[in-house]
Amino acid sequence: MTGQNKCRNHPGRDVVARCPRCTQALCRECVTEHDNRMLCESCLRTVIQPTAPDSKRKNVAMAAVAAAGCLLVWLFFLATAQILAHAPAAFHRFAPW
Amino acid sequence: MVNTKTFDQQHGRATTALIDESGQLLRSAPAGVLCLYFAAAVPFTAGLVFFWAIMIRSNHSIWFAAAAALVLSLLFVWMKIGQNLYCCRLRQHLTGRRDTVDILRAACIQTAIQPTGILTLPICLVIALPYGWACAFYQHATAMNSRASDSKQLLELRQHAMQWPLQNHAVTWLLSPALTIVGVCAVMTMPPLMRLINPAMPLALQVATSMIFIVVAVLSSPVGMLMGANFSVTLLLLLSQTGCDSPIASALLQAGAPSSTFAVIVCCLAYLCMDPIVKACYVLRGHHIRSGVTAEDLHARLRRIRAGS
Repeated sequence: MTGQNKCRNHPGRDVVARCPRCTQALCRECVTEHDNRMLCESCLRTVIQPTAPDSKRKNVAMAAVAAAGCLLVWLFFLATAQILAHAPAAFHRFAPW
Repeated sequence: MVNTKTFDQQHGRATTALIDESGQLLRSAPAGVLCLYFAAAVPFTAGLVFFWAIMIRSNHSIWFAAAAALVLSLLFVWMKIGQNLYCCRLRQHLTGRRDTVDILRAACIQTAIQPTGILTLPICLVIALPYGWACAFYQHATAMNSRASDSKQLLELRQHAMQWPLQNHAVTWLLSPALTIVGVCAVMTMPPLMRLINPAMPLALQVATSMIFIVVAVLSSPVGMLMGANFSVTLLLLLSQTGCDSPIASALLQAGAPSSTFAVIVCCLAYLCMDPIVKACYVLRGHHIRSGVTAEDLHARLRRIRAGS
């Protein structure tokens, strides 16, 4: 029974928490708080660093959204150019009365 | 139950104190930080003036307009990335923490978020009510750190935009260059529009409606319009010195009256003066909001004490 009350990494230390991901019993030094959960070091690494394919997919998606943003700005300025070209001359001269 | 929260905790720091603090932050920051801002914003504003001056002449092809719009959109993206880096440098100066900035990631995020603002903000301004929150969202997006995950960042931006609405609306009203631009546009376009609708309008009514538009524009952005008036007078004086025959004067004046290109130059100059302070305000606002959760302000103060000792 003592095995369950002692830390996985430090057999001499008492357990203070159990990692919700890997369910390992850990002492105060081996757990850390992340997103209101007490995680062990290896699980924390997994949570913080997304897996490589995920990260790559996200980067591609972000680049696509950024390209769409550029396209939107270009269309906006193109429309502005057309409006300016066809606006009556009275709009380009400040004559309040 | 007694409410123990102070006014600052409930509504944020007083607007005048925040603007004062942002002025101090800008003054104490290295000159390179402000140079970074102008290196980002001046090419776009200069490009916009040239774009406007060329496009109001209708004798250009669609391909030329497309190419000019492409150059201007690239300058816009460049400005937004530069403004984000400027805010990062200001935040580093404020907190004393040397965070690494992933420029490529910051560029992608800014290019993804900021272009939506050129459509969303005018729509919000027409509806009037959500403009302050929408404006705060995009200002906080410019001032954000690009390290956190995307979903968390959007959530944080939304939270920051909703926080302390009184302070946010006061800063927007006092310093937002967008309101100045809208005011100038209203003063420029409304009188000819009314004359187009009713050509037989009496002169007294024309004067009265123009005065109403000018008063509304001044009330909607007092600082910006005051700055705009100063720049207008300075430009008119400079033009009177150069003479009405010079090519610059012919582009800025039409039959003796200021042209729309003149108004664009005034708006751009007002923008370049006001926007660095607005950005500094939102860097500080974000810092104050985060400090309530992470005690970032205390860490910054400790870091400063440790560096001084």
